[in-house]
Amino acid sequence: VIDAARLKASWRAVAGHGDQVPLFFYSSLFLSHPQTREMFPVSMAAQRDKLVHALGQVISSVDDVDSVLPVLQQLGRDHRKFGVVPDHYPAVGDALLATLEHFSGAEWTEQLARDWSDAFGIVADVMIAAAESAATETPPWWELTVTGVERRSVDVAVLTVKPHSRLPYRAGQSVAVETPMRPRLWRYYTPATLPAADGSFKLHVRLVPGGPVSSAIVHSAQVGDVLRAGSPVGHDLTLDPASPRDLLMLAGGTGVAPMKALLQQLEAESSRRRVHLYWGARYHRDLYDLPALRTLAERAAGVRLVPCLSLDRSVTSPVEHGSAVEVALRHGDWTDHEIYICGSPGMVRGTVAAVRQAGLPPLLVHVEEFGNEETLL
Amino acid sequence: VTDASDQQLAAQPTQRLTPERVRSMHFGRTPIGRRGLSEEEVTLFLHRVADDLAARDAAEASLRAKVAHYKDALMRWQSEANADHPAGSAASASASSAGPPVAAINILSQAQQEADAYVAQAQEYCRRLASDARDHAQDIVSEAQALAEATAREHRPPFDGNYGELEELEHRLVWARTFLASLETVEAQLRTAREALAYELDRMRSPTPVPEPG
Repeated sequence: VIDAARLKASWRAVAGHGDQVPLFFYSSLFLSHPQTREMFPVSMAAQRDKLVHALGQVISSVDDVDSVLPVLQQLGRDHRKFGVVPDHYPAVGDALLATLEHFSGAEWTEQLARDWSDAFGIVADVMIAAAESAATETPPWWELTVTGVERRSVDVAVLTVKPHSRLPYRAGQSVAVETPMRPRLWRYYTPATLPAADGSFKLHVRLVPGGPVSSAIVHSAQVGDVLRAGSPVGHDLTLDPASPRDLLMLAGGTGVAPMKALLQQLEAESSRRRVHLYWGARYHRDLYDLPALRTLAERAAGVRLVPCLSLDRSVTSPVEHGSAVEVALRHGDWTDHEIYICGSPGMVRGTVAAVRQAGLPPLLVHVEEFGNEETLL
Repeated sequence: VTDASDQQLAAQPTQRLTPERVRSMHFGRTPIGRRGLSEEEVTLFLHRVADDLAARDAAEASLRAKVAHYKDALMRWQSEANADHPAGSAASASASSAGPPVAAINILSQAQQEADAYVAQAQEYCRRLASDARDHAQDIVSEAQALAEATAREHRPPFDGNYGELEELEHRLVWARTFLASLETVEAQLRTAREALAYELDRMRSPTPVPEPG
């Protein structure tokens, strides 16, 4: 039996050494198993924080393994796309134990070593089992051929990609994407369409200044490039088929992508639910998908599109001035609506706060919780 | 303004600040109209702090490696001094039970930290270039817009361009009504001309004169 309290105390003491702990761990792993190095990007800084965070999460609930089970299973499944196989787990376990021993100093006992080893064994077993069961249903990753690149504005590109085999996703779900130009760096993107007959879909990519992946895609993606995508993830922005409520969509910039996919789904299902889409941008030229959205809104009777410009005063109609949420709150009371929010982290934070302040029911607010970057541990 | 940073800090209360968390720290913006700090200066400083943190981590790690080394040496010396124990058997007691030597690990760690710093610096440089370029583009567009508006004002009929949005609308309405009225006049004239023409044509076709209409 693992002594949970002892394990937690041990972790607290070790984690007090900060960044040195994951530094030591990865160096030790790479020196004993050099082939693992190539699974990681050049910079390991973000990686290290991620590892310590995940370890802390697992350790803090070690006495209630069931509560972290879903997290671990998801981790196991997600790690398949990085090329992780069961053989890698013992190597990681050795490096972890060596690290803990090094930082524990005189506190390190055989008992503690056994506890840690057992705990790691459980974690590894859960992850491996989840990965193996997922392997019976889906490939570790999908390859996507870029069949179209449209540079719509200074910093937005719209890619059309065709998966080599069917990639089953629901409108509102995201996939982690890796480009061969920036190997080992994965970023989440949300398909902006339902899959076409041949499985193709579109991705809206906004250049994040200094962002290695988005800069590469927006500036240099070409027809014929082959990207990799992981399993579709996220359920927070998908439609609840049981809900009869109308929808309020608040999107910022490329955050309009999932909304567009959702609109297409509603149209395909001949839904009677009405949709109010407030799409925010800074300047009129940033409304990179306006004609397509207008067409969609005109075709579907229950869809109302309101473009909102926060900085542009030169265009007066048919747009509103202010952020999407400001304009929406100015326009009415949304108490009975499902509220979908997507955009940059800052936009989402501000919008959620504004919606909460307006007293709208938090249960009806849909926001994607994960960040936009995903890494191997 | 503070909630962003508070959330980030509260997320992991036990975790020490790392260079990455310092570098990727984002602060909320002050509302428009309120004065804030220079973003560039804050970013530069954060990067400086991150580099310092990394250097201290490295220094601490190498101190710990030295301690491990001296402990080993002491143990070896003690076991050699003790005639009862065969030489070498005690050395394994304190050496780390598994994995590569700590000194080697630290060398790799330092190389990694340097690589991290280079990548962070390159990304920060790209970020500055991209946002400078964006600001610059915005300036050019605004200037062009201002110029276009000024030119349009200059060449507008002698309404002295100083009305608000509503007056502008009124002005356009008046203009549209005038235009419509003149269209109606033209239309009436055309109708008269057409009727006259039809009459002439009829007259040419019929052998006998037809009484004039109306």
